[in-house]
Amino acid sequence: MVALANRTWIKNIYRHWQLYLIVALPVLFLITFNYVPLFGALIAFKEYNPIQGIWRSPWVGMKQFDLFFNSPFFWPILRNTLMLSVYALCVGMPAAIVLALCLNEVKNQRFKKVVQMVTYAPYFISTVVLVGMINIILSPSTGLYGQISKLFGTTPSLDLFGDPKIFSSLYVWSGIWQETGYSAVIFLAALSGVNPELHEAAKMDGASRLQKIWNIDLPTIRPTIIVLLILSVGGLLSIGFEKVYLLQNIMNLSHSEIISTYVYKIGLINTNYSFGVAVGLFNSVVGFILIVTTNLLSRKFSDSSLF
Amino acid sequence: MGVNKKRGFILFLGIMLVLSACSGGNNGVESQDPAQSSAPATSKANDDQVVDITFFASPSGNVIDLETNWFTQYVRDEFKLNVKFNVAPSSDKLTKQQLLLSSGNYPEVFWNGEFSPSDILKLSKQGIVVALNDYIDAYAPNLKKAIETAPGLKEAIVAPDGNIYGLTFYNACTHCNWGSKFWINTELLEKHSLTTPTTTEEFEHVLQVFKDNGYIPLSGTSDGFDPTIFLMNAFTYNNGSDYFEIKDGQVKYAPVEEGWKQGLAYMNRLYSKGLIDKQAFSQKSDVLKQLVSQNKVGVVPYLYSAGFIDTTHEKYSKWQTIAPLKGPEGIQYAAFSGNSPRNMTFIATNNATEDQLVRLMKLINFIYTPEGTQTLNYGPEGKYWTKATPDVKGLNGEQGLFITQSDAFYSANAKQNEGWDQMGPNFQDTIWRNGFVQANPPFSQDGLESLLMLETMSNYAGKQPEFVYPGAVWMESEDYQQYSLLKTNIENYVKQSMAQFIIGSKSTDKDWDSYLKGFEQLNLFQYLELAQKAMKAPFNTSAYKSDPQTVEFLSSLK
Amino acid sequence: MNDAIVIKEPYSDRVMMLCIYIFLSIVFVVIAYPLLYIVSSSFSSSSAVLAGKVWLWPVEPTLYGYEAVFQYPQIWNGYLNSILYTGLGSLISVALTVMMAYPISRKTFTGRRFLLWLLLFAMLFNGGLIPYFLVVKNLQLIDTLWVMILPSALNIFSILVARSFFQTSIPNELYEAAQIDGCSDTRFLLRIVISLSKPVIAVLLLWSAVSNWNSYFNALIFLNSENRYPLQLVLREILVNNNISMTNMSLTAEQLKRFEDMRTLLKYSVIVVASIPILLLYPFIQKHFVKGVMVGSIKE
Repeated sequence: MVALANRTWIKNIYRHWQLYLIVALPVLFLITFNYVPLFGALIAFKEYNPIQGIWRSPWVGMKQFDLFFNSPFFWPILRNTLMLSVYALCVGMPAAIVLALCLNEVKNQRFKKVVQMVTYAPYFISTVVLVGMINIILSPSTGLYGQISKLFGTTPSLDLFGDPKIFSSLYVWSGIWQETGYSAVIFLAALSGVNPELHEAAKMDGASRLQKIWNIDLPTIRPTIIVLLILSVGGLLSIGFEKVYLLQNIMNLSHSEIISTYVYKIGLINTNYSFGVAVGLFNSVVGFILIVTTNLLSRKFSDSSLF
Repeated sequence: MGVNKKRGFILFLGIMLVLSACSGGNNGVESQDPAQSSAPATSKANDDQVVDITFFASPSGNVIDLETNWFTQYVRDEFKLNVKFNVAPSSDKLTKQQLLLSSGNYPEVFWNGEFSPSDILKLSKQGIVVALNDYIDAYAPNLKKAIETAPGLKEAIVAPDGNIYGLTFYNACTHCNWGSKFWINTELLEKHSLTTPTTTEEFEHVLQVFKDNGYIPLSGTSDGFDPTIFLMNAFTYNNGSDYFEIKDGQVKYAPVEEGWKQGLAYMNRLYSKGLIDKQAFSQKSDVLKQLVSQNKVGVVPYLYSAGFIDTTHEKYSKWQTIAPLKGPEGIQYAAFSGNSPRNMTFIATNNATEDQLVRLMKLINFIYTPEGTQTLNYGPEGKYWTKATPDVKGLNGEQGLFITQSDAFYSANAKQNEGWDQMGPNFQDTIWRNGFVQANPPFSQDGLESLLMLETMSNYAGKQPEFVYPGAVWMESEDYQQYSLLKTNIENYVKQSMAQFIIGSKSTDKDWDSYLKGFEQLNLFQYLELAQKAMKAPFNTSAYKSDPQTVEFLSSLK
Repeated sequence: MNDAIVIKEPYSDRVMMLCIYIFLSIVFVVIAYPLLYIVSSSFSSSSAVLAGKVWLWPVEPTLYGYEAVFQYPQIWNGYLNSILYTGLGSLISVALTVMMAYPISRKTFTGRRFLLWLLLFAMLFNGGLIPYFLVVKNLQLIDTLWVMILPSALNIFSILVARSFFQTSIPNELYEAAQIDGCSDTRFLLRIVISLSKPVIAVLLLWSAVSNWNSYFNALIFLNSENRYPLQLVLREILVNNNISMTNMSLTAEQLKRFEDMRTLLKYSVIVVASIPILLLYPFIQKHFVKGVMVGSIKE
């Protein structure tokens, strides 16, 4: 049995030598730009000093991690980070799928193209400008939000920018506005793999449109959904800092301080690369655990998984 | 490069220095001649040779291209330095600077980087940064003299070990020193026959009248200009940055003091009555600008009025400052940030050679003259500036130095390739600041400098405590790492709590004690200890006073 | 084919279709309004924008903002650089992605699990900026064209997505049939896999182009000369100012005022100008999302 397996193994390599040749180049890139720099993660356990370099800087063990875990803000910022990213994932992904499914149903090509194009466009607005626009359009005093409230004869009741409880919604829904169209692209591509004969057959059977979506379209794109879901779970702790930082103010700080903004603020006062790398390593380890767990779960409860 | 030009230039330099009432102005002339210096000897032939050098720099947006800039060529011709640039946009300057240093891949010179004194100590310990003392002694007499005479300069650049590792962007910007101003729409005051408020009570009344007449009484922005700093200073000193104050030589923390509590209570009262705009802490300046331009606002905290209202707006001249308010206990401070400079902008690294350092110091010696800084900023004479003729008055009413077309130079879409525009270890001392523009009427198009000087001098200057915590703090790197963590945590807590007290989700009556307890957990005690240990002496502000002559002169221009 | 059998849509389906159209129209309006606001603002005078007069259409129409953009030499230089980096970078990146994703999508490829873990690990873990910088420096790439293309060429996320696509959309039977015909692996990849995977390759191209176009961080740390700056870095110069703080001002009041004025003037026109090329790319990508394209070609 073992011998047989061994032989297939060798035979496979021999038969597919071209594949190994093909894969060699990207693997070279992978090693150069991803694996060689990885030794720098050592910095997390050292007191990095540029003159001594990465290897010769003195070891400090878990000191940087202690600083991070023992910070009185550790739990609040961890909670805020997770709240934002889980919220964003739970709303963002379904929104993109729904948009893709709806667009896929549309027969009028011109309408379809226009909607697709317009929903995709906001992705190219830079964060700074996006935040500036949110401020102008949603301003309770001068913005559209204020004007609409006035139309209904009420004064704007929500302090969208100041209320800490609204912060996560502000962050997530502005993200939905900006990114849904772009995220839907991959699902649109996946939907183009649906076999039209299946639809025809379903039609003959008298299936309703909703049933066709549910029984044909969704299963086709399910592998894509699962792969994307697993991959995004790995990044739950690593939300970029720029947008959150720009939306922050002293009013919502209790809910808007996340890991990346906190590390950024400490770095502004004092450059401590070791600390930054230690926090990054923590994020990666958590991300890794989350990915593996999600993958296990998805293998257990569905037939598709990432690996 | 003719001898005549050089001689004429030296002559001019001498005149300039005499004019600017800078005693012993001859030093500047001497420095032009390296032969007279007691420097480590460099041969004459060597001196004429152009040396390549790389600067890390972050140019201002209106400089077209540093490599082809007129001043870059000037430096090559006059100081024999062929400067190549490693540039970063100003928004990401710090990121790149830190990366270059940490990767060990840094250039010879950081021309306008940003280094705290504690960074400098760390870099000197690592051997990255070079001490400049010998070169300054030999080649930069103007700088040497400035260290003794220019307020704040010595504290900022001389390290505890007596060495000078870096130079600062010295900017004796009077109006920036008291940057937390309240601007009020005086037209509204007149319309409702109110007088300019002087106490917290009067102020509250004014806001109430504004509100009753449908205005937003007091607004602000989340990106730098919220109303708390100005208001808090009627209860306890709040410098708006590190919250330190000095009492009997001891460092105290304003946010744990009784006055802070009263200040919060006052602001909570204003807030709950709707006298502070709900959005004052959360809207961006873009929105504030819209509100002001629609004449909806009464009072705005800002560095300068042109930041929230266009200078061409019909109501521009109605916006004037109000002086710090007197609180119930008689406290009346103006937040002071003149305990600067806080950061070094220029360092030379261990990559720099002897030849480069000598030439650099000569360049810096030139920059430490009004003419030098002027040329660095605005390029050759005759393009954006000319020398002041005898009838031209500077901002303080004395003979001006230059007439700078700052309006043209700093207009929105101006692009220029003449000067470096306030980039690097400039020496913009009081003499230069008062003399670099002609005093124009405050509310004219070209009068921004006059307006800011007048408002600051008449309402804010001199109203700070006599002693404040120094801006430049030399802290050893072991302490500093701990300090920076504590600082981030504590200031986060102060800001969060301030917001909660003001909007009323915490009450100064009930929650004050638990608020104070919170500081214990954050280790405020250790933080203050570190701050105390790092302070050699409190910063004496008695040199920073209002000048009645300037006020009188500028008022007469109206 | 569809015309041959015409079955009248049931009532519920027509209601459903109506709902979809209404829903998409709402989405369209919600997304289009702010975009229109940007475009209208870019054509309005800055005083009108400041005064909040712009709601839907340009007020006091002017081309001043665009003139100002045209007068900004760095923008044009950045534009050309960005187009070069994006074009070249996307092609190389997509090629590498396919070269990696295809082999590991094949069940007969020994070592695919190992490679998969290698990719996953590399996606999550990194050594931070300094070692990355040092590697790039030692390859002598700093301040060259290639530094904008090579270090970011391998996108692991794209590889994993592409792999799962290949796995599900290229039937094993097809591969076996090709083998019997004596088709080599390279030929199979070039002739069949690529033509069958047009939609996903289109997406890969789009992802890569967009991320190249939007990226500024590599440019920031690896480029030293301003004339190599891509557009996004120039835009940051115009739009971002992290330095506003009263106490730690690295800009003086004059510079601050200039910055604010310039931002007011250029903000909207610059976004419009900077987004156009990448928006134009979309229709080319879009046309590959035609239903049934894969299945159809397998049958031929």
